[in-house]
Amino acid sequence: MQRVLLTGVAAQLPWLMACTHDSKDKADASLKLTWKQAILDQLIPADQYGPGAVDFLADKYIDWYLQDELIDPSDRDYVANGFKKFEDQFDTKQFESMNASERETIIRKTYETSWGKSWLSRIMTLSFEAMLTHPIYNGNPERIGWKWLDHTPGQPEPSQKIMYPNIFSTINES
Amino acid sequence: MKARICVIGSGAGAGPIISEMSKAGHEVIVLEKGPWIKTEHFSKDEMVATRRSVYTPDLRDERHVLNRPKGDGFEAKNTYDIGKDIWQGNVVGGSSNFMSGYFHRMKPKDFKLLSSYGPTEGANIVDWPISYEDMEPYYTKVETEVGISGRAVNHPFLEERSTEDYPYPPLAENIVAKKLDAAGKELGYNLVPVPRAILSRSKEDRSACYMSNYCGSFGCSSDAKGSSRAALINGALATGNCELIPNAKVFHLETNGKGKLVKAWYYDGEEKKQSVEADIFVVACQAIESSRLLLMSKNKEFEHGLANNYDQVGKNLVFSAGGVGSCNLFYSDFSEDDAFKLALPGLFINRALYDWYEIDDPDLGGKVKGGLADFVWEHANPITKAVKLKKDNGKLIWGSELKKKMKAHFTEQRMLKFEVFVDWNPNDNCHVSLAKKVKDKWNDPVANVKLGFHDQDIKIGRYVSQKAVEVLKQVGGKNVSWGVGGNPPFNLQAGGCRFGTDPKTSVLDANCRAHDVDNLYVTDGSFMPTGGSVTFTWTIYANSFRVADHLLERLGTANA
Repeated sequence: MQRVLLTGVAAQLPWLMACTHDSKDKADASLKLTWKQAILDQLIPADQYGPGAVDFLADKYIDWYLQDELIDPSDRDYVANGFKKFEDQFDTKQFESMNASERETIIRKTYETSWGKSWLSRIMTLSFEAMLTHPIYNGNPERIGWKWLDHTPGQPEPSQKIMYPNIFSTINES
Repeated sequence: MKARICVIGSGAGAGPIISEMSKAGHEVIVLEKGPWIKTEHFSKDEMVATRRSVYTPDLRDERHVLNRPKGDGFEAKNTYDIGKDIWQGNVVGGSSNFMSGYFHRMKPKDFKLLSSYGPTEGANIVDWPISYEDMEPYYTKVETEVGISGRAVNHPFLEERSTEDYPYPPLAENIVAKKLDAAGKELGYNLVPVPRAILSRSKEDRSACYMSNYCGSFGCSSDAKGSSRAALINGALATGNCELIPNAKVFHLETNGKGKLVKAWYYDGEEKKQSVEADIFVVACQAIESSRLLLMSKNKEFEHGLANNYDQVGKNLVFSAGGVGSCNLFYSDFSEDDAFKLALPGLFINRALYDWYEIDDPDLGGKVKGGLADFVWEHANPITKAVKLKKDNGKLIWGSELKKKMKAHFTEQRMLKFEVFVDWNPNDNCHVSLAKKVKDKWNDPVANVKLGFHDQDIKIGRYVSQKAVEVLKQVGGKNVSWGVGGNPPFNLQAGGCRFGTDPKTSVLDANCRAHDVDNLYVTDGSFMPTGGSVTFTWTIYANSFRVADHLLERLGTANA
């Protein structure tokens, strides 16, 4: 048992240390987030259990997703429109300056709307992709998501040539 | 372009014929709808394998209509609108590239379900026109040609084998296999080793399994997995007699007005119409799409579709019925050493519960056909695992609550699951037809799949699942949950062009040749009137080898 747990503890160390930081530092860091990052941070925060959505670069990953022309535009619009609705419904500047508990109230309110319920679920899934994808997709930097969850990636790992969407042209050229 | 044989599709139903005919010197042209993804293109990239449509068509271009039970009737919705993708691997080698390769032979009684157990009201059960004994040599051939690893042990439902054991030894097993065996003994149940279409040692240019821990849904990077592409088609290409055309979507089979098939028409990768002439045509596009192609190939001679003079094409589609269950094996419930071994990735379980393949229980009305349960690990791909954790009782969770749950799921336990396989009783409400309004990107009607199921499927699925649940508990599993429903697993589809002796009630004869079209064969799972209580792929491979023997008898070898 110890051998299994040791790996887990080792992977958590930076986050355990982060938790010893002054809570004011954490609050300051949180105030530097954009409102989009703050939504994601509320869903998957950096906390005593491990890194959070901002550490996984979930916001940048979602931007990449929204620009992927191979994805059905209606799927991308759905995600983008959710951010727009959030912007319409709440003062995003104010949201950026809120503390975690105030932000939680807003997220709960969002979840209570018919659009917010499924939209939050959708961006949660995209955040999981950012957290646990191969780092070649610009999420999961330095494999922090995998390390956090003691995940062993499969081999071989993707290269530039066979990653999505490059694999399509690679296949056609071969 | 002309060939002796034109094969449409390249999955498990096609590979043996492509291989055997090419090796016998016949010129074979293979028209595969999907791209040619080679071994070097595969990696354990979850994005490519499961998060984006790389191995399957874009639903905007090609979809299905699903007609599912709702209330007292059925409700038709297309798969794009409901976001449900039922495509399997549309690539060279088909979905056999992405299978897990749990291989079971059908049992002798599966070939004569009607005469063994009698009729079931509301089910169109018939005996097969061939017996287990007819198929046995071909099951054996699959073991050596495709490559099956395993260990034959005696148990009440062990089918007769012409060889003592498998040609490849069992794959390395996780300690949980021994724990399952022990749990079985304690309960008085037989936990039987499961053969896998995965090489445990190298075979020609295919390497042995390196236990990547990413098997089902992923292409194999060592060619250990017995895909049609790696195990058979690569060898066929090496003969120089086989031409493989990827990105070739066949949309029409043309006859000559005298009941003979002369041309297969397809759209090439640049969307241009092309055709292939051949003496013999073999259709193996997976059950739903094979029926669709025949129904689409209407002409004056076959007004209702090719080989459909008696309105049988598309009828009696079957899947594998059954259920699923799972439990958590918490490392803290085991010794330090056992916990370490349970957590080791890559090693296989390969155990099945076979005791209820036939059930003799007065509560079920006496002796009835049952099924089996395969024990499997939760798949390793972490995004899919994480997505399943985002809700509790249907409600999204987030914040530290979510993270605590994720951390525990990934690091404090391993999820042991079972999958139950029982007969999907063929019935009048499960079939393929052409959608009236919904078209694909080439403006052809898509398949409309009606998905009615029989109550007996659920009853038997529940019975076997309850036995498997006992095993999960006995092995130390916590949070045991299970479910049985009428939703079909689309990776296990068969029927639609059942074979038989009567042209009025079957599409194909005993050699899988269309009753109405002398030079048309259908060799994917479509031919199966019933599916047995097992996964289908071994039987599909075996049958394709059997049809290849028939074709060799019909055509002789090329230079004979």
